[in-house]
Amino acid sequence: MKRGKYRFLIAAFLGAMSLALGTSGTARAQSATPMLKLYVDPVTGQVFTRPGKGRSLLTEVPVTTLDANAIERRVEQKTQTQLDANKQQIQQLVQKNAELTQSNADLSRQVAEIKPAWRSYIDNFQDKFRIGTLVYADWRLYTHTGFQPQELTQIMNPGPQNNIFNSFDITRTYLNFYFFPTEGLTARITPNIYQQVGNGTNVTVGNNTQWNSNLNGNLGFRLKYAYLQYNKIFDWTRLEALKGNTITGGQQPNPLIAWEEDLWGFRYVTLVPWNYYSLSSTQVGVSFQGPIKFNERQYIDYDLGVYNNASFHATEQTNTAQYMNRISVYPLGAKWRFDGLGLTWFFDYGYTNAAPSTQGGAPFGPRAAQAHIMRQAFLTHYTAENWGVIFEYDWGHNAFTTGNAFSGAGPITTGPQSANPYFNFSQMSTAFLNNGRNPNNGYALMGHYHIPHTPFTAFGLWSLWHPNTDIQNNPLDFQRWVVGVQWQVNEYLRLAIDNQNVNYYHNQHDVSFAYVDSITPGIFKKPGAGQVVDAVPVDTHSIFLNLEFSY
Amino acid sequence: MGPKMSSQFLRMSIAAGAIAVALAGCSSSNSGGNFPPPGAAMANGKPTGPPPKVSDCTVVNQGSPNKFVCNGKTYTTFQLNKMRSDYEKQQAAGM
Repeated sequence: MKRGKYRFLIAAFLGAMSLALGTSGTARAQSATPMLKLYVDPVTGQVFTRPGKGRSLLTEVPVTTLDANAIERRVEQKTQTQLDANKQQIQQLVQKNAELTQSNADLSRQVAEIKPAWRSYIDNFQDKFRIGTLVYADWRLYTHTGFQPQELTQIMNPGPQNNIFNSFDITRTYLNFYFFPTEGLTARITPNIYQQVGNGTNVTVGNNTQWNSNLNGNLGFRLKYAYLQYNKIFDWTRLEALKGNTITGGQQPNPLIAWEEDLWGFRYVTLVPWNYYSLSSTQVGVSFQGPIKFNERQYIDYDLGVYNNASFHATEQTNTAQYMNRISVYPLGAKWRFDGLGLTWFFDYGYTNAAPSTQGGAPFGPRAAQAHIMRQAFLTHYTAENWGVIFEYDWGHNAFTTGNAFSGAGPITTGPQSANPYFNFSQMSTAFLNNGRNPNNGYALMGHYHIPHTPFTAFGLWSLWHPNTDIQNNPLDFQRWVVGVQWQVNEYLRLAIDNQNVNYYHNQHDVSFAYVDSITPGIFKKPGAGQVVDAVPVDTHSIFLNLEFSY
Repeated sequence: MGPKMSSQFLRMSIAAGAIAVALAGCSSSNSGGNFPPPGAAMANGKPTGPPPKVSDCTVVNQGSPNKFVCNGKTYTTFQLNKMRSDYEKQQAAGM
């Protein structure tokens, strides 16, 4: 055992010496030429730079054969390439992100632009459509009621012996619809309310039933305007002076009334002379109108057309037509509508709205029933921004009948005198005004003055009217005068307080039946010595509070 | 057919006229509002004064809308209203 132990120790010592010597020799050789040792794992075939379990030395490579700079450059190059690739990828990502952002923005915009169909419709429609309204209302009190024409559309008073009659009224409610479908073309449709008057007759239905009439004074709707207007009708002439002149077709304002209402400016208070006497403001027909301008100044303003003989609230019956024209001249040139001095001529020629076969009742016959109607007006007017004045001479033929004279209140027309104290007066009026050959004339003076630095404007109208100039000392001659003050509350609202009067100015007198019969033979079957007693109607006086709302 | 214009009515007419004149006269003391008279002064193309007041203008078209002439220019009521509203807002904002 001891001998074996010594042999082992000797062998270990020799092995260690050998290993130590061998290692030191290799170290010396390596220090001379550095070697890179590579080991291999035979099982996996992997190559390692360090020894390890299961690895065996594969080879030794001198380090000198390896260029560290080249390796470094290759590493750097590879790193740079990788960096470039990464950078490019980042740039692509950034670009893609930007594209996505843009795409999102586009999508958001498109989504935002997706609007309901009705909104698109309204957006397209808003410049081609306009709606407005115009309301006239009043409260009136008559200190003296009597026979007279209407002061405003369809307002009445109960006639003589009904003093202190008073009433709230709505005399106009326009709903103005304007359409502008194409450049230069305008369509206007205007429904309006009006006061219906009448009891009507009950309607028999079948054998055993009747329906009560419901004509009881309701405010009814009727069509006031429905027309097309085109303002490029004269563009082909290339005349700057005619630019904007229009052709109008349909139910439209006639050349005088609406124009004169604007000239005076107080339509919501009362009617201008020819409208008050008989001429409706609206007819159905075709017309041309427009200013003629030079150097931006208006020298002529014209309106002429051909219309039905019937007004807008009647059905045409004639086989003729009605012609009207208005020509206004501004000799000094008007910078705006009505500016400065103006001279105006209006002419109207038409016929009573009766079918050609109409024979007419006694004592007038067809001549009166189908009489021609002529109206003319000659106006001199001056308008400044603070004031205006209008002088008017009116001349007519068959232009004022009992229907006009008593549109606001008139006598009962059925007799006898014992049952109707106004029967003889009614017969006289009919003889003087409805005979188909009565000339009329009159004068009017209108004006207004704005009180400086206030919202108030004083206005007035005076007119003198001779319903039949052939009648001597005609008891139906009258003066009308209106005076009042307007308060311009704001842009949309005007109020006025005014006093309106009809003054049958002749001294009271009787008219003989014989004289009346000489005007219209047969009106009194046995004239004898009979008299229309107190032939001059009572004056009427009233106080109005008027309102206009325009929007 | 009836009495002519009575003295009672004459007295009432005179009284009504006097009331109208009084109303018109009294109104001048407090109806000017905050607006001085319409001015035409311009700065950089913009008016420096208040816009025209409808009550200082003259109506030249009665319809919907009404049209007025102020200082030689024609405006609709909508335009006049907008100018006044804008001006009042500016005044309120102290601009």
